[in-house]
Amino acid sequence: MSIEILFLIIYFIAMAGIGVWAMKKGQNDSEGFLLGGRSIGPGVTALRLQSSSMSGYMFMGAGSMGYTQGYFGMWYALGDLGGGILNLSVLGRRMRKLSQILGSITSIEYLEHRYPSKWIRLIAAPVALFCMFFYLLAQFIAGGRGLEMVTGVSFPVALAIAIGVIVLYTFLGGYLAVAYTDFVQAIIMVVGMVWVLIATLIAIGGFTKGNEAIGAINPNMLTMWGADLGYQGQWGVIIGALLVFSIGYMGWPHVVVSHMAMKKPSVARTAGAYSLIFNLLFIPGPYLVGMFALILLPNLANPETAIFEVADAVLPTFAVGIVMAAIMAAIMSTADALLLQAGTIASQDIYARFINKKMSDRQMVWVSRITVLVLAVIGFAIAAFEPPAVAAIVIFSTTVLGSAFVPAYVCAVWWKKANTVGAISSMVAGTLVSVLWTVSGAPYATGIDPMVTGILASTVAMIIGSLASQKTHPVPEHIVRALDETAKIGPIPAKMIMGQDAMLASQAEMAGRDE
Amino acid sequence: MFGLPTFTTVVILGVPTLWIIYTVVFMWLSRGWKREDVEETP
Repeated sequence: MSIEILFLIIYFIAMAGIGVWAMKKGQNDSEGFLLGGRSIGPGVTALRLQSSSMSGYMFMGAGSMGYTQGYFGMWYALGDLGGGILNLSVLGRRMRKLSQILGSITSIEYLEHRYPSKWIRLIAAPVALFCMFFYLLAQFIAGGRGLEMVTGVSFPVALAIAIGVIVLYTFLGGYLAVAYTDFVQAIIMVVGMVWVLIATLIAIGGFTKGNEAIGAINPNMLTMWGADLGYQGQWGVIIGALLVFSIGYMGWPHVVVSHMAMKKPSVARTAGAYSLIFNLLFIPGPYLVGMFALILLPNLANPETAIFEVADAVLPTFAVGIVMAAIMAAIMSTADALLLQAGTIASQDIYARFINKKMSDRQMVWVSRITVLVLAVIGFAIAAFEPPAVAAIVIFSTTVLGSAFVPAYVCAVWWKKANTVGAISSMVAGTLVSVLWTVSGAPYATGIDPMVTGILASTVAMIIGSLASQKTHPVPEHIVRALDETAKIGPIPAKMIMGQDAMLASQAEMAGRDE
Repeated sequence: MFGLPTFTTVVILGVPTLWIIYTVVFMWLSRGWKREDVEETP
């Protein structure tokens, strides 16, 4: 048995072990399963948020971008660096507080509570579920490919193993298992990436010598404009690159749920600082190693394997096993968050909200677990027999998620006039514009990224829709009171907590009657 | 510097510096958030 396989087996057992531990530690009610009982501290919040935001793309796509486009790829990295601190500083404290006041335990339910209408959930849940399932599918495929590359087993077998481990700990421990495994996986990702970056810099004689060598191969690679200067002046593409991984994260339901699970609202402050440190250590690495692979391995058949091939060339054998575990960690930490959130949306936001409203907490946990299992089986069936292209699915699904939900989540806590009409208009406009812009080929014709047009459309729709309907659809008084309380720095009065305030406690029924 | 064109050096050092400044300002502005770390009041 090779050392890489041994490391992967240890790694898989460790992740499953954390799942079992979380199952014993966690509460068996829906808040315990879906939010870890709102008990997560700053370290786990920060690293869980970062590792679930960064998928296998960081080890495969980012390395490939460095190898093929040089420093142009750094535009994505530079936006990405601030994604965590931006998310936690803008949404963190307020979303944690408002979600507790409104009694929301899923990120889609939270939107319905803030913008009271069943149509919010009827639109948000399918859009989120659709995008997240395809993003999840991409992680399954990447996980299967990675395992296939290391172990040499056939793709369907590798896929089944990768999915099986992810499902096991998501199935067992819910949010708590996902949060703690993501925390451990984030550390593995940093260790693996920093290790391979340092070894690469030593192998090429240092950062400056490496740049000089790249310049000798193609001086354009050292510019911010791409290998053939094709992006010079293409600010629509560059702004899109900066936005997609900075503000875009604020619209991803599986990421913003981290805010709702924090132990206290102030956790966002320390978590913000931790997330920046993690990002500074981790994010530049894949792009730089991918680029310096041009010096060490100038004739790679598949640039997506650049980081693994460089690791193989510059590290001792046992360290290659750690890097491979880091690649799997990046894939699995995103996949488990997506799987849990997709299961939550299907069970809590669709089944329990519209089909069986009288489910007990215990029944809901089991429906969520069964949904996770069903999604995994469907994902396996599609990925094993007709795997689509990974990168295309990731970019498409994350662009639509960001475009559809960023204004809805941001305005929910920062703009009192944001109402149901504005939120519905924003989600519909963001989804339609980003999808149509992509499928029509407009990005190539105009040089403008769909993230830019999607976010613009959803923001304008939120503003116009809310302002135009203030008289017909005013923001309900209990929401205004909750927002006033959210803005204050101080503990939530007990009377404002869901279940103890008659107005807040009956909001679901009120929303139903509003319709 | 570092064998890179000036613009590349300015961008790859400047943008992270901006994020660090943003974080420091956020930490300063949110220094009072600890007041929320008490049990809910009746």
